[in-house]
Amino acid sequence: MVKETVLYEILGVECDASVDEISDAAIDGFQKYHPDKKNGNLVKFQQVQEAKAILTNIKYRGNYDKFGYQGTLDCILNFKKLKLEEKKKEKANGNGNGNS
Amino acid sequence: MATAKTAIGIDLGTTYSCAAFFRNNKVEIIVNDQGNRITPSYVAFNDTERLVGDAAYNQAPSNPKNTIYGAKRLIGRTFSDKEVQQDIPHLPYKLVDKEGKPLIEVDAKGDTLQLSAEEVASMILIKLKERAEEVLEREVTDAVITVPAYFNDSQRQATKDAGIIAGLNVLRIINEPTAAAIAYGLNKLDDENDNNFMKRSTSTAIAVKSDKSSPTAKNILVYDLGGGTFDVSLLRIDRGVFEVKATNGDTHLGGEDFDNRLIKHFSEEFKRKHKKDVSTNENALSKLKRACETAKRTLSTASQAKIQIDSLVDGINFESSITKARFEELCSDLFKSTLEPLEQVLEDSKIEKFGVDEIILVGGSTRIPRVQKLVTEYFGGKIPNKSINPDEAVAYGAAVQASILVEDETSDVTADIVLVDVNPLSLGVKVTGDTMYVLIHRNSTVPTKKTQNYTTSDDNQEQVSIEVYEGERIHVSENNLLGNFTLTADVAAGVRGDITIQNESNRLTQEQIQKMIEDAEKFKEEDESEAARVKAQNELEQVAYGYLDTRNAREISEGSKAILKNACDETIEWLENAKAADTEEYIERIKYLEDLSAKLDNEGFGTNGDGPHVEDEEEEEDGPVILDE
Repeated sequence: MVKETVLYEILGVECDASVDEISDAAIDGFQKYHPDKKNGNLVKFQQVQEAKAILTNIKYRGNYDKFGYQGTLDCILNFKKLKLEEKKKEKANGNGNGNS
Repeated sequence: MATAKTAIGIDLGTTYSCAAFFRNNKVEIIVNDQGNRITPSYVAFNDTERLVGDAAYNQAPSNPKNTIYGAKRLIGRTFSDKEVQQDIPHLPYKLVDKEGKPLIEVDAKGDTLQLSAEEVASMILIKLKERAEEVLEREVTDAVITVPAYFNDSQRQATKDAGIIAGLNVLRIINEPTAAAIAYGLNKLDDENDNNFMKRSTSTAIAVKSDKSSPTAKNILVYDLGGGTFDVSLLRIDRGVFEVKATNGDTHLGGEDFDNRLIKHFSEEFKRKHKKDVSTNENALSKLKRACETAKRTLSTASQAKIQIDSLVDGINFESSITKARFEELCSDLFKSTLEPLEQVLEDSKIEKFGVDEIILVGGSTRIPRVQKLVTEYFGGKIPNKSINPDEAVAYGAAVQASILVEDETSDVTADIVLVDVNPLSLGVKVTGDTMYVLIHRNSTVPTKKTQNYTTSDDNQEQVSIEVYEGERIHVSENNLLGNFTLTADVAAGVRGDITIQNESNRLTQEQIQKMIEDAEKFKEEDESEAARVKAQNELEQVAYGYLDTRNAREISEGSKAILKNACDETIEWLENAKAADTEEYIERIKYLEDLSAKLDNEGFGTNGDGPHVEDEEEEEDGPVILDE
């Protein structure tokens, strides 16, 4: 059971849609809402883009189904923070070992 | 449709530029006044005039100090940039540091002129724009200009400024590999409909929206190695949507660097043989550069190339040769360095090597067999697609994009094309310490928007200064500062406001741009007046030689013939001595000869061979004073 269905609704697909179906729906969305189009819509274009980015990534989609949109963003944010810390540590160690 | 606006697509290259337009459902490359489909990105100055394109390229070896090329390698950069410093020893023209901006210094018509890379680029753009106007027979102002995908914000803004100086309305700056992908995509879609409109003149609607299950979706990799820049982009093309998955590159790698390796090789050889240094002699260097360019091209089809330069230094003729293998060895590290961005693009797009359906080679340097082999080997023997022209594909795609952006009723062919591109470099803000906190990762689809909450570092802090950076390093000091803004307490308290970040560092100011637009106008007037002068000179020559040649066949007296001959001879002599007289003087002299000729025609029969003496006749004329030498 998924926590929320907003992203699926944006793309107009079922919650058990395959990655191919989601990609296809996103292509339709890009065609319809791209800001260069006569009746384009930047906000909707960005929504399609975000829905696609989350739902075509197995990890993100899992998070979304379990924790919802805000939950997914938090997960991504925490992951990013962790990675940044790691990178900083790596760099600090790297500098420590070599002569800067 | 005849009244609709036509927007052009421009591929502003490091060494060559190309322009195209989309009309009647097809793309046409604009052929320049020399009959060439690509125009050298060269600008030169001499004592009397400014030259742009082929004319500038052709005279480069004899006027190296005042011939500018490769401005694209300077555009949007600072004088102290590593890449700029690296280029200086190879440049025959002088580069000066003006408040951090690299300016090119040349002698132009007796004056010293300092030009920014934007201005030089604008001169090339003007040349292409004017030619487009001649071909289309209407005013052209709207244009899409392409840049390397890996260009940063400063380089993009500076390119846009060049367009503004050239009097163009820059509809959009698009990425070169993306433009090339459009050329490939349209060509391909057309092929499937058995109607290749890249080659044929008529075209019908293309079924971009074929069927729903998208069996036509393709991952294509564009490997774009040009004269001065290198890009790799991976795109997915699905039912007209060109979605860039990832992009990477090196904005300072291309044919120019391969030329430099050859130049170094031959300079060393010359030094060994003749104990003379070529590298400090601009004229010699320029001759050698031209010979190396030619040799490099030869080596794309032959296994050996000869070099022959008369009087390279101190009257010494230089003759040598180089094998393909040696050339490849000289550039091997440069060729190999293209694999790193390639690897990164696959990693960022999360697509495996075998998931790439088609490899597209763009840019003149992809003609080098070793480069083709390197790419083929990297993809386990997969042969790159050769269906698009590596010199024209980018301009082609830019023209398609331009037509999509201006036409009220887009054509059947382009109606379903949607470009979904990415930002090449990560965007972030400075947080505590020197740390870059990335908000929008590289290869994020644009346009995009990201929201992030931050806390102030001190209690009761009234305002916070936000610095926005671009780049991949963790320390902001190693990235490119785009701009900064200050949030004050009321904004922080929840009042929302839009803030536009202007990247002011290293950019031309409005006043500078205005001044350059005026200068461009001035240059144009000078070019036109020079063109008018040359035209008048040619006309006078034609009139004088014409009368001289045809005088004996005319029904006029012998005396009249003598008068005419004398006047023509005198004019021809004057033409030889007076190299650059005013336009008015030529026109006056043309009129004088024509009047004289008409007068002789009228009086000819009456005088019947006993015409007055030549000298007398001349005294009687009230033409301009001629015999004042």
